[in-house]
Amino acid sequence: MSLNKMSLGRLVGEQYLFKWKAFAGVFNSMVALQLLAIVFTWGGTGMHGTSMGNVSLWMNYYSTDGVIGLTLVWVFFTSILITTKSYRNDDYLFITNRLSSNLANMAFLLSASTVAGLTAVFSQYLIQMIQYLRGNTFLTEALPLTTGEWLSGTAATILYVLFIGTIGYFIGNVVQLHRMLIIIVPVGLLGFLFIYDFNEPGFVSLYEFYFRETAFGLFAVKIIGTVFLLFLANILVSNRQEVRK
Amino acid sequence: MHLLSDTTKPIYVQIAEWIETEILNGNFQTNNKVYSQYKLAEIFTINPATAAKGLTLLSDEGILYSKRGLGKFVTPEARQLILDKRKNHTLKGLLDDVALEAARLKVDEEELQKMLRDSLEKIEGEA
Amino acid sequence: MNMVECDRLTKKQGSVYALNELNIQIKKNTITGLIGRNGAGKTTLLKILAGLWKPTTGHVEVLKVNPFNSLTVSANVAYINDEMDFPNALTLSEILQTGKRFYGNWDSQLAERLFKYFSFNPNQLHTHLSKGKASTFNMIFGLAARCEITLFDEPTTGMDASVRKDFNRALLKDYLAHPRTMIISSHHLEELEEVLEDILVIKNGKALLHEPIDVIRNYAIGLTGRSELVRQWVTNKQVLYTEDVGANTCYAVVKNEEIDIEKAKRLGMQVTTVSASDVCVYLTNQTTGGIDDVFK
Repeated sequence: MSLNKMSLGRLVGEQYLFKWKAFAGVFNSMVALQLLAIVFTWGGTGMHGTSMGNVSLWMNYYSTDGVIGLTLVWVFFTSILITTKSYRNDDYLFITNRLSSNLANMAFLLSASTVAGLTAVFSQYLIQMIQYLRGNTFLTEALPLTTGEWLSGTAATILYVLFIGTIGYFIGNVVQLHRMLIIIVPVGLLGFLFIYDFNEPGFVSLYEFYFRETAFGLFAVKIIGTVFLLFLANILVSNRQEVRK
Repeated sequence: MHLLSDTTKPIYVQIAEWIETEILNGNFQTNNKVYSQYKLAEIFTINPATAAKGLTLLSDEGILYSKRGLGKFVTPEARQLILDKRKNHTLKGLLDDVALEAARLKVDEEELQKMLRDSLEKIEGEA
Repeated sequence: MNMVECDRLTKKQGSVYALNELNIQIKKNTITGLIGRNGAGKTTLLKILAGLWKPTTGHVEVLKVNPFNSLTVSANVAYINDEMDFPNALTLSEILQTGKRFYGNWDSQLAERLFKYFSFNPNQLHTHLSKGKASTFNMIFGLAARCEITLFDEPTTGMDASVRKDFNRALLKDYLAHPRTMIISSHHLEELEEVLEDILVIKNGKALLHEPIDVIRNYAIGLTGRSELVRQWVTNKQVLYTEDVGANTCYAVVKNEEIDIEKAKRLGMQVTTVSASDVCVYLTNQTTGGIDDVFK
């Protein structure tokens, strides 16, 4: 019998396609969460009212911030989910090694982030349509975005989703290292959120480093670089991991 | 095709005995090719290595000969060898057991011979 | 050529040695039965060979490479057990299609024919299969993958007797058509032994015996007779098992060497052969007595 030869590239490709099928369920929860966020924006996310004489003017702000926020929550938990035993073992039913599995997962995360980012951005049109059907008038026409602005805004959304997804994926992989970490990591993270002073200069500069960057190019480099580093860390973390326990 | 499942003889011995019986029945004639180890494996659902052992056993006893690359064939003296072997080993072994059991049951020689004669007559009557 | 080599292979799980300095070699194109009690280390060995788990110490080579995290090993070693949970997003027929995409030697025709023969519904989900049906499906997957090395870990779990028979026959026919190396761990040695070439018995993480099946079939004989006679006969011999039967009668299983069978018979002892599966049971018992000793 001839040995079955499988190049890493072809293998990752097959695994990636397999994941679209095997992980298809994660998009159901994405759609559900994004629709939920849209429902929350029904009455507007901000309100402003003035009256001049007998004329009163009510202004409602509608924004996709809620949709993007829930999308970030979704990608965080989804990427933790795909590191869990039953999802990870799917790869080991067929051909894989830890590197190819990680590569295929990251490729899937990238695609899922793109899909989630795009649907989040496009949700604004859905919100507009809903408000239009309710008989409200738009003022967005007053501030039209240039194509370039729209593109970089969309790309930034996708990068945020990818960034949070990669962090989730990394946390998930670390947790898989030892049973104890299943308790320690979430408790540690929660405790950190309660105790930590987010005004500390260290955190502020970290926050500013990632989220106050105004030049899109620089922002993209920072995010992609971090994603890449986290990805390398993932390979190191999972390379010695035993599977199909 | 099934091997006797109640016997605890090694499978390769059972395979050898099956081929011997086929030779005695005339299903394999002198210089005929017998089944290969793979064919035997397939017929009896056994490992081909086990089947090969059965064939080797018969080769060692001079019942089969090999032609390189062609397989195993029945030797001219196969029939006689099998008959001798069964007479000297199988039949004698059975008689030993009969003698032992007779001694245990205190059946004397005369009675035993009478029983043997009855058995022989029964077979002749049926033939 | 050896497809598998283990040299002082040790796997520690917690404080327990699942494998303890295990030395084995598996020849190319053989079917080996892996026999041992629960917890003897069968699954641990197979998972290390499949590259899923890593040894604690010692050396292991599969297809001449270290199996852990090896792409070559993953692509050419199929590990089939009863814990394969295929994703629920895939139907049974989609699982087989996925197998075809991954495994270069995948035999679609065999997969389809077996699938039909065992009357599977192509749209069913793997989780909805009964235990026996799931085992049957996994067997189809393992055979169709046609890997250089196929590891079946308790493949017949939950199968009924007739399916187990079919399994043996399917496995053997496919092996005859496409010889390859297989290791099958099983509790049902008596049903499996006909298709095996070798038997590997492991006990407490060590290889106890690794011999052709017929050697095991001739390994021991049983002596039944008056207790003092049997006892006297088996002193200084390797006794695998003893049992009192009736008032003054004893059954002993001894290694089949230096026993004058004819003389034993003449002295009134009953001499019986011991099946390979019984030999394995006796060899892997912790004591030479049986469960009856517990109730003494």
